[in-house]
Amino acid sequence: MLIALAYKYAKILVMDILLLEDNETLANGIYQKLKGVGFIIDFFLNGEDGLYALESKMYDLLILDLGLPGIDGIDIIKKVREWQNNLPILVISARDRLDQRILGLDTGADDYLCKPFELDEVVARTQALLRRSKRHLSYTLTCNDLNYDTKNRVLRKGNSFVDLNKRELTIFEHLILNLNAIVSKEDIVEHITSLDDDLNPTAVETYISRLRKKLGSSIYIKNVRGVGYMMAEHEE
Amino acid sequence: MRSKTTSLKQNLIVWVIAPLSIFTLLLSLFLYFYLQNKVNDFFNKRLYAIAQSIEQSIGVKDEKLFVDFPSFSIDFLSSQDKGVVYYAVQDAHGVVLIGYKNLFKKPIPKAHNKVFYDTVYDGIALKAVSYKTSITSVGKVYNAYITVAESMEERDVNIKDMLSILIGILIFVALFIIAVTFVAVKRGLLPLHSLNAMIQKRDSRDLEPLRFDAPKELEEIVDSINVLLHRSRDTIEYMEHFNADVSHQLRTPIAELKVKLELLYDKNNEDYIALTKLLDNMTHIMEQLLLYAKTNANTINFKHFTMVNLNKFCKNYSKKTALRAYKKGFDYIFQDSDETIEINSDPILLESMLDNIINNALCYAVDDNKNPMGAITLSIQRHEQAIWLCVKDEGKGIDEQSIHHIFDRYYRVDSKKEGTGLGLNIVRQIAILHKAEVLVRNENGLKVAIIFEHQKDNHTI
Repeated sequence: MLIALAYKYAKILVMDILLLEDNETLANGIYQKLKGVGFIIDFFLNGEDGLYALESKMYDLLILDLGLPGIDGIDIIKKVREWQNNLPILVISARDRLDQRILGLDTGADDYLCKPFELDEVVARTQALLRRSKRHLSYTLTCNDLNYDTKNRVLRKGNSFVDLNKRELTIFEHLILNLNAIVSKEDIVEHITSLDDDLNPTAVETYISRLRKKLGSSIYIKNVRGVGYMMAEHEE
Repeated sequence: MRSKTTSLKQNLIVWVIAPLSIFTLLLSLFLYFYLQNKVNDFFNKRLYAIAQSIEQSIGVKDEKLFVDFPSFSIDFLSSQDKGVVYYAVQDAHGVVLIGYKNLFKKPIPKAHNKVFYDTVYDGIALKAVSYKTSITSVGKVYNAYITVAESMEERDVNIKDMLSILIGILIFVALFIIAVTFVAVKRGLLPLHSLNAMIQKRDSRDLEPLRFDAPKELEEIVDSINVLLHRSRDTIEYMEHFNADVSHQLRTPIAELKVKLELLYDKNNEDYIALTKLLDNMTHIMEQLLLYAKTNANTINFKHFTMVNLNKFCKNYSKKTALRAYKKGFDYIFQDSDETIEINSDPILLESMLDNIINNALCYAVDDNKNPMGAITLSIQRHEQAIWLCVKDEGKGIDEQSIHHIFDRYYRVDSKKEGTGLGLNIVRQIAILHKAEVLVRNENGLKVAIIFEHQKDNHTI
């Protein structure tokens, strides 16, 4: 499902990804998989070459192994954050301890994937990061018969427009950017309200109900009881 | 090794009081006999003085001895309030010149030396003195035998008085010694008690060095304890590094294998499915074994424990875990508590504990056709002073016999299912590290509750 969605992106997006991984087998595997999905990949087996590449080219995403020879992955994250604050970084590492994960995320990584992983998981996390990053905002997100123009904030179902009010649209946008992931009610409330605006979390249920009616079977919004909501292409 | 532990305090008290008691007893016996002797000596001298007064009254008339001694003088000489004085003067032929006839049945010594002795007269116990005296008159020597005896009342009263005073002094001294011993021992052992209190007060998980202003004698003990604590910390850190190294070194080749398989085979290929399953199983076993080693109470590093907001933690955990439940066909519910609850916990261990319980539910809450049954519910409840973190499934539960064994190592309810048999054992280990209890019961499915003690001040460990 995620791969299918990624192919849909691939028709619209051409994303440059930099992969820094010292293990050749893993680097080749990730390279082939992401290339097969439609991304453009540059990969290097050490940190110095990676830093040079980052200096000379603008990438849409960095996939980084922390245990690189020469320069440690954490130092690369620090440097990247000094140069370009909004480059999404996906860390892949065999360091599985919580403090190591926290260190990676605190330093500036956007997501952390522990080895061993499945290549599909790498693809899914890559797509999720790209979706959430600001870089895609001038593109269109497609899911079943829905097309969402992120630049003009217009949602189409087939050939017709779907009429959503401001809050409904914001909730929809937040959910589709986190497709197949669970978003808590509090996150949604935080997203649709400003500081001087107050909203009861129970009101979110009303908006979701309206969204479900307006979107019909084009997309599925699952209520995760006690947690929040999850938007998915199909009912699981 | 001694089978019975003895109290240092008791030992000290016994070793101080016992010799002192024996010494005091011997001293009192000595004093008793010494004083008794002195009293007797005094009274004997007085008795002898009476006898000498009588001796002064002996004279010779017509070649015969006579005694010119009025009887009231005896009373005057003895000047005693209590008791009776008896006397007798005999000549060499045994004729009683004055005094009580048949007073003395014993033969009177022939020597001039005075003899003191006990005797009985008229049923009364007496102390007597007898001696021989010689009077010369007109070139002729006349011998007389003087005996004076007195009853024992006054001696006894004096000895009793002295004994009473002596016993009084001894009791006072004994009590004083006991009191001083107790105080001295207590004060002497005070640093030991302080050290003991300090150790008792410490959490058994705290391996920081003891900071104790120890007296000289305890310094070495405190140093030794600190050396042991240091070694424990080293061991824990070594275990932690070893665990991390093993984990790190194994994860990369397994990841390589997985990637190779994914690239070589089609996803529906039987070999790919079988090999991937094997690899996943291997990864799971590796992770479970490492987690099992990591959660041992003796090698856990408690510095990772911190105050965790359980509500937020469970909500974030649910965001990840619900997807896993959905993928397996289960529904997922999170029931939060109305109040904010914080517990002292290592979040990664807490997550591993919940993972193990939920994996168990995902594996066993299925019907005969292996179809998932209902929902998995994670809930936080507060029951008085206890926090219940519950995972409940809607499966068939397990038979009562198995309930008692599910926490045993390598015990598996269904051996056909995949798993290491370590999962729930790890759950219990982690619960113990959190000073929590694990409760398992059938309740329209299986309910596993981790019961934490609610402490408002458990910020410190």
